[in-house]
Amino acid sequence: MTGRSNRAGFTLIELIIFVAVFTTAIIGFIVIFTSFLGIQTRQYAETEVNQQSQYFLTMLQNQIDAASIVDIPADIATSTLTLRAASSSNDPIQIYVNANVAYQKLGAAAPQPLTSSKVSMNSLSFTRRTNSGGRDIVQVSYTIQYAQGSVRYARSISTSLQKNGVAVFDSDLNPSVAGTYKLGASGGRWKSINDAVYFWAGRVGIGARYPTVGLEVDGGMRLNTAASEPACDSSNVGTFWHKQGGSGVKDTAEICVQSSTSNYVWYAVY
Amino acid sequence: MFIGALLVGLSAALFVANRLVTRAADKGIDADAVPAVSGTLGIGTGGFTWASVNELIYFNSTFVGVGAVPNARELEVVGGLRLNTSKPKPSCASGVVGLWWYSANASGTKDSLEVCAKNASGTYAWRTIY
Repeated sequence: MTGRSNRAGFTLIELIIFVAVFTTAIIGFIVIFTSFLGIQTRQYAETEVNQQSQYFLTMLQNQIDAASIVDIPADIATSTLTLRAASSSNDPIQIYVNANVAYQKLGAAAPQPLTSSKVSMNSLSFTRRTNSGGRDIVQVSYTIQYAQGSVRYARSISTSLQKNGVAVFDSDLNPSVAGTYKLGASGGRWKSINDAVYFWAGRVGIGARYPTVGLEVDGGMRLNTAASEPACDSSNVGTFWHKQGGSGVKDTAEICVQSSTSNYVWYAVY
Repeated sequence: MFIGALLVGLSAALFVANRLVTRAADKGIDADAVPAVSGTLGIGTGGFTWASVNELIYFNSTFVGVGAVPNARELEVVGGLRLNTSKPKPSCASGVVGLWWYSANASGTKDSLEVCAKNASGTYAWRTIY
């Protein structure tokens, strides 16, 4: 017998089985690997969206917290939040979305992006709510989604942020026209001015927090008069006047009163 | 007091302050209103004056009224004027001439009302009214 080897080989069946098993293993590996990559990409997308959303909210809270005034109409949703800032170089502060990117604009400076191109922000809406007895609240809502590749991950956020800052004025506080408008009125009165003039129970205190008569002064009352003493008549009755005498002439402290004969006279108490 | 009391009734007011140019009709001020620098800025300046504060202090040109708009004198008060003093009485000198001082004393001792004035010999002293 010649021309025929005794060496064992793979049969066709064996080869087919091997290729089938190998292919299955490869396909399984690819599926697992693809799935792993998908999960990893999705986790990355979630992390990116959550971090950028959190950063946006933190920046928003900081700006609202320190704002002098939330300068948008009450109870009306608006897409741009305008805040008045304590620092004149940062005033006004505007926060808005343009081309799916959130921006904050401080004064005249160039807008700064608060989100990157990796996410897309939409439907940003601000609503100011007045808070009787407290400070304004800003309701904010938006949708933020991952904007890279084919991964789809989006979050819709609705939350409320409260303002805590005082209203800081860096210039005189003036009305637009003279003698017409009130500074504090029925339903909204100020407590004090400069910690020197106090208001309480319809009375005014100078240095006195809780005045018991129309005008109460903690300290003395000085009539530091430069003008000449007016005539005492019915329109001046009750007027106190301190007339400073010249050299060698005593001062005179007087009160404009009506006498028993119905004459109005300056009554000298000194 | 109540922060809420600070919610303003600046209803139709238009601030023309440098930064707070804002119609307050729909927002008010929901916190203390403070100047950026202490002791420098004014309230109602350059002819842009407020009519009143809390409807208690009124202004008429440079006249100030407590309880009503003043029309005759620099300071007019509707109601009494009380010197309810917790501070020590200062010395009477030319710098405080015209100063009225009420000293409330303990039970059994009369109170005193005095005015700082100069006599004909040029001496500044507390002159007892009561």
